[in-house]
Amino acid sequence: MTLTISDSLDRTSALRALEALRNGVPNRDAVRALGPTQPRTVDAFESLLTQLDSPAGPATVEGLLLSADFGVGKSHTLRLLEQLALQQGFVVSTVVVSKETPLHDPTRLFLAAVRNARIPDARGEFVVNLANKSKAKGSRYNEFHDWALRGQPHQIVEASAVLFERLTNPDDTRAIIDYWSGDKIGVSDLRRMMKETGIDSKAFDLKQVKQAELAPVRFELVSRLTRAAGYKGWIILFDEVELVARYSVLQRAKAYAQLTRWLGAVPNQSTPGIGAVATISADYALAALDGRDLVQVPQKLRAKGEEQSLALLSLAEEGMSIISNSSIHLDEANSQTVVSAADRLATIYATAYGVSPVIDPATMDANQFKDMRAYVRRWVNEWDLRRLHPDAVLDTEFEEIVTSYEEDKDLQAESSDED
Amino acid sequence: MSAPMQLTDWLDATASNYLKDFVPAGGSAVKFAIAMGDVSTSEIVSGVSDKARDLDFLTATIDASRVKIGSIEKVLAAICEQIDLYDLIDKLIVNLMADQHWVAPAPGPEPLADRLAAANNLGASSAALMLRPALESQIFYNDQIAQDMRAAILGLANERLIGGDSMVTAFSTIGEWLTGNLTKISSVRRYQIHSKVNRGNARFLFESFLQVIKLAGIPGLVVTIDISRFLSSEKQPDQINYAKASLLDAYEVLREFVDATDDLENFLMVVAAPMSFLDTNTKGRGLGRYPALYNRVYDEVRDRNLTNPLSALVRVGTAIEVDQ
Repeated sequence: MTLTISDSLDRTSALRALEALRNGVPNRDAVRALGPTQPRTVDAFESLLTQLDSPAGPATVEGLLLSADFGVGKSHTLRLLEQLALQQGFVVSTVVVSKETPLHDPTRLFLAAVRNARIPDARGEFVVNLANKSKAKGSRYNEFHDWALRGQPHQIVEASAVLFERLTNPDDTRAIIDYWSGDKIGVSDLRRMMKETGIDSKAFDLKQVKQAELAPVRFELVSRLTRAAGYKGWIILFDEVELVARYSVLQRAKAYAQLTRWLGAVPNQSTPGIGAVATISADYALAALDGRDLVQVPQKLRAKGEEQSLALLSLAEEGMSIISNSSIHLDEANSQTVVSAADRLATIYATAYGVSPVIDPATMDANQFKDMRAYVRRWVNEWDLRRLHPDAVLDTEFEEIVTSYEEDKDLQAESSDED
Repeated sequence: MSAPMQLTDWLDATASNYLKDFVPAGGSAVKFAIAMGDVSTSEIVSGVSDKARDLDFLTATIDASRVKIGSIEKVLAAICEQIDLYDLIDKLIVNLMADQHWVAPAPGPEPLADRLAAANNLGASSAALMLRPALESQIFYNDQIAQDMRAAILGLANERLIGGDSMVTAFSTIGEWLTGNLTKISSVRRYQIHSKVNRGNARFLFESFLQVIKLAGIPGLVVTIDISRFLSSEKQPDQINYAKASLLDAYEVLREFVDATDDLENFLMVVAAPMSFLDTNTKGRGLGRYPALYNRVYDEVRDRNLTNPLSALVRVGTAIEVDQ
């Protein structure tokens, strides 16, 4: 199945598309109108979706790592993949790696994935929507329930699933769903709920579990709840993974290990029912791995000597190998894609402003830039200026945007209330 | 670098392209306006707000020295503090019955239901009865709006119709919930609101709030944020201080608003910044400090002589003379 290219955006959608392109952030309208430009990636993603939608139950699948220079179209491609997945009945989360959402921290990744999730046929409140839909879904809900009771290690999670089935008080039900979404829940509250629903709380060890330990369980819980709600699986899109380079050595090691878990289909480490796609800058291996992390990460972890650190090293090395050897390199702009993009963008512009922009042949030289972003920004900017200043002689200049891979201690610091 | 645009020209272009067109039609945009030369950030803020109010938008102005921008729930709280909830609910109620051609009632101390009935030649109980299907279909069953926001708006609408002390309590309590001043969540449980506003739900609650504004027949919401405080590392005793870590958090929130325009409707945010914001040094305090925002708004492709008022980042004011 391919994304339906929208040849007929309405005017507001056309304006939206242009507004997003002025921000350098393609939105749904923009990707629908501009269409796919990375056929190899789309094929690989379709294959991932097919594997994930397994009738035998939630599958563990290898993810995809997409690499490209700045502006070639990583974010555009992710947004397109999001649309494809939603169209085919998957739920999708987009996580932008950042200070607040570092790749090495599964707890914060989970919270970001829940916060930024989209469901094909509903808005917001991701886990609430899933939970409400799941109860009506019969056998798939039973699969979820069986896993919660027998397939995961924490009795407090088991208790929450038992309670979810029995509770009738909406505030208490919401508290359970919020717990699944990442909130805390008090043991005394759980005991009270159990008493009120006739469940023997002594039958469960309601010991609190640390958030970091709960994160992988929560990912799997929500993944299984996704299927219980009638969706085919959960796609998580990780954007701007190159920010990892700016963390400390140990954090980078953990991030590489996380990448392996998300992309590598590691038995007992990867989450069933979740398919991941990540983007990274094309020169990451050269700039951050060769001569730096390929040396520093093993040095750091071997110096610790513990079994845990050596296990982490194994995963981290696999992650670095994925970055170096296993990414899909996005295609750079070529004469065909430049012409196609210009035509489609001109159609969007005409819909938005009622005037067909003139495509200056001088702006169509496919050898001028590798990245489609530069072409798009130039066209939109020049068309805006021509519309506003019909008699002006335009003189466009370009400034290079350079990615930094230096460590940044401030990315690693928590901000305090006194700040 | 292109010459800056005159403030009045940029304000006019923003009004005609965004406030009169795109935003009322459902669009959403985030713009960065850089104060150059003799223009100040406060002039940008007041200019935008004035234009918006003239066109019947709801407006909110936020100063980063007073509101911690790194917490999206605090940004939402600061916005809600500036919205007259009574006026919003009144407009919502009247607009929900737009197909019945209801007229807005005269102000007065009587319950709104009575005033609506009087203004529209209805029996007092008829107004509330006629409203119920509209409230149900457009609020209660509207899954574009977060459950807690639906509960809040229904609670406010019902109490507004009834009037009296229970109305005052509802507006006060739900107002506290929206503005982050609620001490106990149990205070709003009676209105079927289940969670405090927090980082996890603030964005969807904000999207929902915009939906309510749209349902009220208002063209939209315009928020201006003055981020001058970001650019100074000097600690000030009575202001929010942005150490480097919290500066990154604040830029992250702005980046999230830029990325969220796909999901937001009828919304314009203008971030007013001093010229030092254009510092692209990755170790400074300006735009270069936060690559994800820099990559989105910086105008690396621009005309040497002309400023595009529709750009994500616009220099506004007079040219700066550079000593040779």
